[in-house]
Amino acid sequence: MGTDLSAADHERFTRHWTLASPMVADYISALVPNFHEAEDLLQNVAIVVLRKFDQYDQSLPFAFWAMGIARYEVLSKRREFSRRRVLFTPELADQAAELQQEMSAEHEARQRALRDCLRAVGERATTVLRMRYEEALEPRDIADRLGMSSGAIRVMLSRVRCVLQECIQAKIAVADQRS
Amino acid sequence: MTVPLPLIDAFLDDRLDDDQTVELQTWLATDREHLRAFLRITSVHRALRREFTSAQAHVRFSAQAPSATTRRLRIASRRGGVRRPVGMQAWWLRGAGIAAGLLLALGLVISGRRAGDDAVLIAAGSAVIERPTGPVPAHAGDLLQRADALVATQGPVTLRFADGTTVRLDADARLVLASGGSADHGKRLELGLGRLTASVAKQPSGRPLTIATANAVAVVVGTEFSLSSSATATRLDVEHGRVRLERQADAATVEVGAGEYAVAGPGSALVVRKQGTLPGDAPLHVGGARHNQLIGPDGKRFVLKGAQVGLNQFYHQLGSRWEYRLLADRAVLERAFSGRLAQLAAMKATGINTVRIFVGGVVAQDPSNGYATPEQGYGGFAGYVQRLVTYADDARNQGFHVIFCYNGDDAWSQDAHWPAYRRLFGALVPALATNGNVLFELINEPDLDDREWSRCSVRAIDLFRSLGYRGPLVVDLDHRCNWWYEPVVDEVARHDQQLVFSLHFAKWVGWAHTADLLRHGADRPVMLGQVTPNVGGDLGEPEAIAAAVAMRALVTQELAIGAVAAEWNARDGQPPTPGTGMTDDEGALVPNSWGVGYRDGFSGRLPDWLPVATPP
Repeated sequence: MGTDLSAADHERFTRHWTLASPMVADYISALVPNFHEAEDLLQNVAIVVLRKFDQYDQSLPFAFWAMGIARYEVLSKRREFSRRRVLFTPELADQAAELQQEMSAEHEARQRALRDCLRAVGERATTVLRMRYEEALEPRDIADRLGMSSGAIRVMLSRVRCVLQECIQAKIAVADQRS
Repeated sequence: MTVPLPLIDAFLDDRLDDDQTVELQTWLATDREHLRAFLRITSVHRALRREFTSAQAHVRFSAQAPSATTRRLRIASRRGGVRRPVGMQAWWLRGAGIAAGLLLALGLVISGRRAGDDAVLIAAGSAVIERPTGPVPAHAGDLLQRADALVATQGPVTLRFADGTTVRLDADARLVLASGGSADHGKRLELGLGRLTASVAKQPSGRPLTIATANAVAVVVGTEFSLSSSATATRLDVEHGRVRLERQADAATVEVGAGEYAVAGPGSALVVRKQGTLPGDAPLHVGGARHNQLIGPDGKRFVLKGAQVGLNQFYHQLGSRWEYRLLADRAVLERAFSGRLAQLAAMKATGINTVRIFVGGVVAQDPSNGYATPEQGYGGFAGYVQRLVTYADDARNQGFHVIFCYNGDDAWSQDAHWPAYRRLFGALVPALATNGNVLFELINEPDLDDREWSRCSVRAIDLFRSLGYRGPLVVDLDHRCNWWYEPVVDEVARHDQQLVFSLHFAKWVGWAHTADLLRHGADRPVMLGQVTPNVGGDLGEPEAIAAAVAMRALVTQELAIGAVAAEWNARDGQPPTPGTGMTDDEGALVPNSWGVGYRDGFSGRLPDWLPVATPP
């Protein structure tokens, strides 16, 4: 544990982690779709990053270093979580980490665009989204609640995500043109 | 570029099969732009989660200094809303807030302040934090502070202290971060009813972790252990290291080491025992080279030879068809119950070593789970549980194993029945914590489709495990499943390995199912072939016995266990006799019978492919 960190180091860690953690969270989520597993992993990564902070080479970007730790944690833990074959090979995980950093500038704009785009989503779809993303229900549980088939719920979620993705891209494109 | 959306959707729903995984993996590796497209789509998934949980995210750090805004948010959160006040919508601000909350938990330790002991991260699970201001939903990253109570509402929830200590709280358990004490105290927790498992990092000298229950205090320096607390007793099991257990009533203490346990409660000696080595404290377990045998306390294969005892010892009486009702004449109950020792002795003389008892009495017609009230003279719910515990203890003392089977049938999947299920086993399992001869059968013959059957089984298994029961759980597979058993076996066996699958038959089709299941499930956990005389409803009583024998041979040959469960009617205390009656459709009890006969579809002979063996 980093119990020996000085107050200055502590402040430095706080500043670094505050900036990097959203990107790390996104990276983990890309590799681990299950919310609970991803959130659990984020906690693990936070603790490991803290413990190893005295080993951090300041010539490297902190986010790059933290995502390297996240990559290791995901690859080592994901196999424990999953009963099936793991999608991300170490090579793919490396590439994803690089791309995630390239795309990090988009994060805030994408989240803002998503908020705008959500306003256009119908009431029923919003209900399904809320169950899926706020309550973390599986499609079949949502289907049970709404008296629909789980296939219908999956299709609805897929379409809504697709529409939202297109809407986000369009808004970002417009914003880019303006700037 | 064609994006394989169905595959990505399957990934996001965590349901990619192996072939799909390879397909998507190949697509991702083909072109860097594919990976970029994938990340953009998955980022929507993540962003939606962030968006829809932002109210709770704010609650995470509002506990430090609640403002009018955060109070509103907390209320919205409790109502399930995600309304955000203007000015709090920048995701990075919330992200920074979450990070700040996280850092607060970590930072308290970094700076060396002892207050770090009462800051905890919830690493996973579903739970509620009870605070003086009201309950708030708990999420990963939440901070717990002194006097907070954490209740695991569904599955288990894991807490992590900044020193690496983790505490897993099982479903329905309640844990309080104790307030008070001096600043030099170590971590202090209070466990209400329920069970926790902890892996404790080495604690600073003189500042051990203490966990108090109603009956005992566990003092931990650094170890792995589990602690189960019921209203009357607290059981401590230590995996590694040593834990001191102090009984609250008289301050008596014992040191419990690795592989040992102790139970603190009124009326029992506070002694340290080896886990799983003493008679009566060594439950059966599923083991063997193919993980398909029941292993007894002596390490050898254990064959259950079962009988089913009548319900009228426990105040329920079988009525007509599937209706259960209160025994009208309490004297009948008392007479039957007082005769249990003689009955057990008689059963033992015939080689029977296991009794199966229906408990609960929740059936579709009785959703209220109507336990007799104390005013009626039956002792109410507590009296009922005590009667069961007494019976189980008496049975153990005579060398019997007891299977308590929930009598619920198809009502199992109805949420309204679940509290009654949880209430009964929530009381019964801890009360039997020291009786290693007890097994639990999740439910008798639920009339559900395979998906519901699996879902309810998994839910029930989680409940038993959360209550500290580690032994095998019996999962019924019976003729009512008018589709194949295999999905149920696969799903449930993936979830838990200490399972005994119990085959029930009352319809002809069951045999065909069995053949398939045996082929399919040869490497699954133990199969307990259980044939009750209600098979006779289909097959006729003599044929039922023959079928039972055949079943036994078949199951023993392919798997591990064959067992014949027969009704042993408590009123006449006689063993079953082939050829004697069935319960009639008007509900009159006929000695030596069980259930209500079905009269349809029996061809009069066993199928040719079924090997019929001579009883040993």
